[in-house]
Amino acid sequence: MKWPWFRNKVALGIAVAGLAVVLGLAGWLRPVGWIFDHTLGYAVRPLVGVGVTTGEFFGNLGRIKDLASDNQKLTQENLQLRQRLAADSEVRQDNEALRQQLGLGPAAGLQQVSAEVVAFQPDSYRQFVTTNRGSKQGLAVGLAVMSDGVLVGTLSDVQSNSARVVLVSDPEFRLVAKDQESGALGVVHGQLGSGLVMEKIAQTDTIKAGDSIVTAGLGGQVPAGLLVGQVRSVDEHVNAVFQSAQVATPVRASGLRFVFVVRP
Amino acid sequence: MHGECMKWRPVLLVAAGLLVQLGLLVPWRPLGVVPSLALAIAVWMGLMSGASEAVGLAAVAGLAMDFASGSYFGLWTLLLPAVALGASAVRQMGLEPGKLWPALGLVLIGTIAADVAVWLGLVGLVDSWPIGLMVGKMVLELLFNILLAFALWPVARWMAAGERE
Repeated sequence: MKWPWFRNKVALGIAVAGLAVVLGLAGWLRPVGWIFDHTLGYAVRPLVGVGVTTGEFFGNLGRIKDLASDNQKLTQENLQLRQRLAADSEVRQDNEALRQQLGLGPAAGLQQVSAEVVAFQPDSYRQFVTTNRGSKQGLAVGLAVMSDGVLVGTLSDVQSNSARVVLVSDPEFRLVAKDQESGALGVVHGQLGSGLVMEKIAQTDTIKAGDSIVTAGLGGQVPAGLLVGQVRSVDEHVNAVFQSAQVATPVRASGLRFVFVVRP
Repeated sequence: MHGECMKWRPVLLVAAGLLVQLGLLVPWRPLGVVPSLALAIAVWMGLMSGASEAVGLAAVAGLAMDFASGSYFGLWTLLLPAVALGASAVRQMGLEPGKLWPALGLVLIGTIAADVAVWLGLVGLVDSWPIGLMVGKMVLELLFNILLAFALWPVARWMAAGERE
């Protein structure tokens, strides 16, 4: 046994790793991060698609038994959505006619920047992804990120050519949202392993299962009206100041491949 | 010549391991958890390779994992070298290299340490702790990581063979 030699190695190893962590936390390892991104990152990117597809494949295998009931539910939902679309079309025409009469220009649309997901959070608990678009493409911290018409998260860290997204299902995610049907306001945040919860809803407000939850557009850079999910159940606490609701979101970190960053 | 043989095999193993870890296992998330091939490699490197090589490569691999991560910068940079050092210490105690049980034990300890570190980082962010779900995830991770360590056994022997050449 060569213990003195080994102790030196231990001290050196701990010192080097500790120094790297301190420098990294202080933000002084950005150039090293850039080197990793442009070497290992480029090598990893072609594999990410394979990893996502493999996850989807095995995920779908587990859902085969639910296909019949899912199909029935989706058919019903499709019918309801067609009815709503027809009604919305009337409302849109009325809105345009009124805007014309009032001399207002057409409502400004949202600008979207497409981005590819190139990295995922390497632990089983947190929900972050990294995209291949950054400040050079006009992205900034706090912007909303969408996929398949649903809010998937917001940008939490932006570099020149990459940006990190904190997903709605992460415990760190917090955003003011509202019930589209009743207008009830609340704070939506991610829960560990069980989707989203909408809290701080006033007891006087009405909220029920099946309601759509959308962004409220209060503060920050997230515009109003982006779909977050649907109310799954309401937790009414009679003696509490606020009520809360469980919100179902179709967002699954492992299935994300392409996203859109929304610029107001 | 011997020195060169000792170097390229662990470097190749770490590079390939990082590609598989970050490119396949992390996006795949089998059964909702992320198996840690990097952890299994750090253990085997500590047991089969030189201590300085094992620690250095584990630190580089940890740094790469931390750059890919959105939170807890430093978790992998500290954990992987620590595990590699632990494995080197086990080897220094005179244990015959290539034994499976010490590797599995170290993978078990490393997995628990990584999960506990992430849980500690969640204090203040989480209102209610789903203990069953968290323990379930950790058990699944343990099973996957032990399987990975077992699968890497022949590779570790190949690495040790390079060291003996």
